[in-house]
Amino acid sequence: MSDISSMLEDSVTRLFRDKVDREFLQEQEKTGWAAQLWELTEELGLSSVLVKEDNGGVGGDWADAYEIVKGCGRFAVPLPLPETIVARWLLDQTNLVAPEGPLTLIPSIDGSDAKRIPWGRNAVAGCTTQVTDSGNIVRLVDFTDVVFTHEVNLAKEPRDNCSMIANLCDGDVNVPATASFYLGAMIRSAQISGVAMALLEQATIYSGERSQFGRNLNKFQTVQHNLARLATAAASLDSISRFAFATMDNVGFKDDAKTDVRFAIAAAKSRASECVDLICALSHQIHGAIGFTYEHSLHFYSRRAWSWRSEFGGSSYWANTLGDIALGLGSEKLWGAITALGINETKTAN
Amino acid sequence: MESIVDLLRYDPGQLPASAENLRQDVRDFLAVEMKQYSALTRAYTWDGADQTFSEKMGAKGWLGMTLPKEYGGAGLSNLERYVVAEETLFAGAPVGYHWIADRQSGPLIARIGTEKQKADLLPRICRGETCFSIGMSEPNSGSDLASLQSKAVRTDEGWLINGTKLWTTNAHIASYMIGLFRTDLNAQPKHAGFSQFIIDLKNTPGVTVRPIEDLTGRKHFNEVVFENALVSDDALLGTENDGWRQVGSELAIERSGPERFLSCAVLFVELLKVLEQGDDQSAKREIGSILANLVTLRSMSLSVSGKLAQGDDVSLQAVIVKDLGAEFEQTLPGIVQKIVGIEPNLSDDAEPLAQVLALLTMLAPSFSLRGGTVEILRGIIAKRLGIS
Ligand SMILES: Cc1cc2nc3c(=O)[nH]c(=O)nc-3n(C[C@H](O)[C@H](O)[C@H](O)COP(=O)(O)OP(=O)(O)OC[C@H]3O[C@@H](n4cnc5c(N)ncnc54)[C@H](O)[C@@H]3O)c2cc1C
Repeated sequence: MSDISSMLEDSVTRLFRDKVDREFLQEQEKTGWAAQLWELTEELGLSSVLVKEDNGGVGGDWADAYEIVKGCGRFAVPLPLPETIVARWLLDQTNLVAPEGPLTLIPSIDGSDAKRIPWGRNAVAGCTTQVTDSGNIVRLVDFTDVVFTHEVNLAKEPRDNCSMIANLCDGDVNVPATASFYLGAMIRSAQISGVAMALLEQATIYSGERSQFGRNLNKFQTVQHNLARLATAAASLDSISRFAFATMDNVGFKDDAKTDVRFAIAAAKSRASECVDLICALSHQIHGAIGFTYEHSLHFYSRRAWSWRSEFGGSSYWANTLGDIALGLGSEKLWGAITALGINETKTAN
Repeated sequence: MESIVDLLRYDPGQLPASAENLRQDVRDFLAVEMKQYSALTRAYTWDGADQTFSEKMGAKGWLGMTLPKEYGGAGLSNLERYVVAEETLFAGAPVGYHWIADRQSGPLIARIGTEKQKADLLPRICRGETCFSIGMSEPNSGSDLASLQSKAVRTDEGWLINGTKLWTTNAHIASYMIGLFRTDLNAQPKHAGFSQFIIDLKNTPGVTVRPIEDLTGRKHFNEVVFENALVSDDALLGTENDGWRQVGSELAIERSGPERFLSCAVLFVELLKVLEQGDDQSAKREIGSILANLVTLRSMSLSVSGKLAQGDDVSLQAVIVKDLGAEFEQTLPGIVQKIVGIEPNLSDDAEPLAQVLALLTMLAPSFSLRGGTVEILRGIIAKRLGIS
């Protein structure tokens, strides 16, 4: 782990554990935007983790960003911080100037309509990558005068619709036209991995406190096995999401979706989306009826996971994409592509 | 609670670029060697043993790679071994003859063996000429290993061994068994009184090896009976009565390797070969989902390997890999049947996919038994997480 990574992990954990508790999340769901919390993340420079130091950022890599994005899932952080991190990275790849304040990713634009924009009403601008006649671009949409139709996901996080015609600027970029969608999927997989950890942590604590038949729940073998399955799922999601972020550092976007980071992202989001059922079901099962109440905090995690699994492509979308990659490579080339992922060209044998 | 997050952390195990040269050499070697094997033979992977093949690997310097150079090893890290292991498994090479020796017996002997044991055995392991087996389970001791009864009693001439080991993979072809025996009959707790022995299976009077046919009809594991079998003092491996801990340290390596998710690789490849000829859109999703699982398991296994190379304690992370790997491999044959709707068929003139499917369908139950049952593994996971 790099120094930046462990420093970030520490400060992210400290900040969110302190601030984002059950009362905060309940309150925030009613009132909307957590302005103060956003300011605190800005003071730490979290949204600029991937921006080059020359451009005023932290100059970290994707492995560092993973710690923040995972933390956003683990603590159910009600902010578009993951989206802003990606947007700032995309803008940093162009000659566009990134506006101050929260940004977001626009999942897709149909004509002049855009749907389900995460935190649209709260963001100052949104980003997406597109293809044009003269090459691929990052499109930056200023939201100042945009009117949003308010919608939300299951966790009441804003997912807004709008028509945007004006206030665009485009910057040439050397990433695929689908980059913003892939990176959106990548951050959601890391957030789901964080949620998995939270679901496990809560279930572990609860099963050590709640007693039935004269014993704590965690003394029952079936409960232990359910916790173990939850742990293995959480472990696997940490591994594959971390791997996708590391592959972003090691390989990144190249010419062929079958052999660059897109392979790893498709695997990560496919697994993450697929595992949501299991991790939510197990944690809820262990919590019994109390976990089914609004009063308890468990749903802040499970409701997010149930929505995040479909955002930026659900499990069947990504499994199909991966199936295309597998059949496109064919039985001869597939293994070579798998083993070439995540190789760090700059490292030599120790 | 911080600790759960740390315990379940899988830092990417990054292979050095130099390991890729090694990978290419292994691929070139396999491209030639593997021509002679049918898909069905390849499907056995680490269950298939072929001494000639193992000796060729040894000649290439690809066995005992992590062992010290003075004993014939290459003094490389676990990551280089990982590359060779996963390449041979994916190709379906018959690695069974050297697998246990290369994976765990060699490293164990190198770590705790006497100078004589090292000088005797390690060079032969590196050459691929010696097959090892592991004697732990007994007729009345499976999951509850601490209840095992076979014993070794110290005498003036050496150790006198009595009892029965069961399910000992490859004992019928192996030169040696590393066995766990009770050496202190009164020890409390029970597991405090075990020791490990290296037993020469071919040259020790009183040792009888009886192959047991498995449900596929082949001979793979054995009953090994010890009747007043006398072994010399040199046979003791490591420290007397420290066997339980020594066995524990082997398990991390045993549980997280690429064989935990690549035993079915040949099935996946044969499936792809069939599907890439047609245009079955509905299969795409299943293929993608299998592949996502495979890439995830590889990322985990490689992560553990990287940590092993750094000398970290990975016992929990390794058990998790085995648990998820067993589930993946065990469900794969059923998924393949669902996708292609063919009948598993072992007959010589059947399609390769039908043959491979037949074999792996029948081998699948063993994936969640050998090396610790899935129930026992989940118990260990819970315990290591501080739950219980
Ligand atoms: C193909 C194959 C190769 C093998 N090779 C070797 C080898 O080379 N060397 C060797 O020593 N052994 C070997 N084994 C044996 C293997 O390690 C044992 O099968 C395993 O440890 C389980 O023991 P058992 O079969 O006696 O089952 P048992 O322990 O009798 O268990 C039967 C069932 O009960 C469950 N169970 C048992 N105890 C508990 C509990 N406390 N809580 C919940 N469930 C429980 C088990 O999980 C299992 O489902 C091999 C086995 C197979 C199938």
